[in-house]
Amino acid sequence: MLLTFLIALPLLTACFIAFLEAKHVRFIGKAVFLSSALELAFILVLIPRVVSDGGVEASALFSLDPLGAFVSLIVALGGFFASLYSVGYLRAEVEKGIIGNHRVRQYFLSFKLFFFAMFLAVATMSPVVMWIAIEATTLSTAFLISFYNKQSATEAAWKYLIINSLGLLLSLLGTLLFLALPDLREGSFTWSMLRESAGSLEPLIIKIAFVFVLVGYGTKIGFVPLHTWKPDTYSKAPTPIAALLSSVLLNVAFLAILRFKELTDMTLQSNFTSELFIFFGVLSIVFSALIIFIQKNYKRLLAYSSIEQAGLIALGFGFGGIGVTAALLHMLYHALAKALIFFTAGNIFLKYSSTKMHHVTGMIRMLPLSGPVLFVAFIALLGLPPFGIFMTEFLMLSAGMERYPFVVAGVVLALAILFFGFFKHLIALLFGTPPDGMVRGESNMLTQLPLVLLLGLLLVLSWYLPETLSMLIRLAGEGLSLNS
Amino acid sequence: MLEFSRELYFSLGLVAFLTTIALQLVKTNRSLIRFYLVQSLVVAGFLFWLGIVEGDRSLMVVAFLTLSIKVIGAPIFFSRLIRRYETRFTANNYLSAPLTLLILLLLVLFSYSQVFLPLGFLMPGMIGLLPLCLASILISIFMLINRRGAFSQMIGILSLENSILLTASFIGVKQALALEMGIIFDIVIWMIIAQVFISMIYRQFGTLSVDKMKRLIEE
Repeated sequence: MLLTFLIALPLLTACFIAFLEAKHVRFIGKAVFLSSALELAFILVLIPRVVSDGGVEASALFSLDPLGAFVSLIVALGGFFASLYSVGYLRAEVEKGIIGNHRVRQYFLSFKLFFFAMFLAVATMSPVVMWIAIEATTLSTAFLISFYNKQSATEAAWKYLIINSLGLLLSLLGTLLFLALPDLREGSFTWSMLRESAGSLEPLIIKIAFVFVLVGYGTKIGFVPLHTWKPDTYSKAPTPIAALLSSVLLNVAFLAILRFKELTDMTLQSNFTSELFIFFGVLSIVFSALIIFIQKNYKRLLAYSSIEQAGLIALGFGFGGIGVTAALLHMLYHALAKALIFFTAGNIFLKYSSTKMHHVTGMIRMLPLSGPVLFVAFIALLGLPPFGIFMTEFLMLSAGMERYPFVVAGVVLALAILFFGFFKHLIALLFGTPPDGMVRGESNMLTQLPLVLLLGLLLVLSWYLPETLSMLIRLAGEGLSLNS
Repeated sequence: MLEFSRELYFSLGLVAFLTTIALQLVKTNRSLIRFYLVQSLVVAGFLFWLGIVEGDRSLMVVAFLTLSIKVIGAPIFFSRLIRRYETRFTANNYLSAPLTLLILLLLVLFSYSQVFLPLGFLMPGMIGLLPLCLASILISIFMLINRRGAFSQMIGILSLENSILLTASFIGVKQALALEMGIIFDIVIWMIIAQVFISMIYRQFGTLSVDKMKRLIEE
């Protein structure tokens, strides 16, 4: 029952907002935050049940297994923090006259539809429903990307729509090829039905099908060379939406690929999927390292960081063994750290009214909270202690040390280049002389509170993982460690 | 009956393939709509025929929905869009006509290559049909890359979706009715959103040519 509520609540909230007038914008914000808090509470109640019983079922097509529950937790956490931050961020934009109340209402309506689609994708046991839901995430976010109604935003949104739709249609082709088996061709297929038939799948067909799925959903993740929409979209979308695309939607797309990876590994009993993961992982990390120095826009910089982090996660799953658990944990840490850094970027935009890095100087003096938090968030994302990403990166790379030493060496070199690239930009943002006449201070309280909460949570989870969460991650990783 | 089925499958596959080729080469937006209509009619017709042969009512429902949405509804909306913005001619291809034809030929050869040979297992006794379907898919993808017009790109996505669904139907993959309707619902929403964006692009850029959309590069 609780799972049904979890899936339905964002949709009900969206319907509720649709009936409200734009003048009730404060009430809409509160309703969205309350709904997101409830979603987080639901998933926190469901997780112990998933751990003890191995899953929670709502119907034949909807249930949460450990992997689904883990990604749901990331979605719910992202929703909670992003809804809180969005209220403050949009309030500041309304006060500055950038947008009106109508836009705020539209934003929250799409925001909740986006979450409905994501919860649907993670909680379904049907690959086709998952495809429908992930396609719905593209549709619900298209208008959020063109939110500011400028030429560049429309251009970015069109690019996002076309490239992601193309990718998703390829993943549909892959999905249908998985289902095109003599004993499976009719009805409503679930992952468990497919797993049971794994032995009867034709290996060569499954290889082709998996490539289509990986390329299709990989477009959504933004693996190089399928990433071209990402920097444009992140730089033009409202900052909380860019945060969600990077920290939450990326993991939903990963979930889709991981489900097929598990199935493919069961059929092939070989390293086929792992090697593809390593290939895309390395390509994404190396490409980000090469392009990082020439970035001029801090939101585009974060997009490349997202591509690099997706590459690292793929590498962890590709290496297998302890790398799988580390990659799952990395998904959580990255989601929190990336949301934190994007929210900080939002505060920079509110202060400097620009996303170009040469316009942003002396941030440490002008933004007393966001400045230091940006520094700390970068430290976290770059994988330095005391943050958990340090440990997950170390574990992921050590998992591949024995079988792929040259790959690991290359990745370490690329990470070192990325470190210097990010640091160069960070120094330029934080220090230097602030623009003339700029007054020191942050925007409203609601743009600061999520930073403090997120940083606190990231630090706590870096040092202490609750027993239930670590059990959930272990269970989630079990099926994914096959053939590694 | 079996021989007739084979011939029908192949004929429909061939018509769908030829429409994807035509979509690459036509110069006016109206022709784009007409060929998309023919392609959608092939999909709807095949689903309807399959529904009758197999006595499957859900397939007939899906065929009816496909017919009403893709063959009747979408072309009417698209025609209105073209009339409203007076964009009779589609934007050019990036590549010249001979080069486009050469790439089309290479894509067809690729779909008949060893790479996709294992997929022949999915359609035993229908040699030649699957490569034709794959060629339609690859050509639709190429259309997205080669066409400069936003309207052509939209038709390219819809043509790709038609090609994939036709391939799946030939293979014999059938979803429960609710899931089929879910996919169709997604496509309808996609069409509506794409049309809204096309209107926005025309209002903001004064053209539907994606070549003129250079704000992201300039920034």
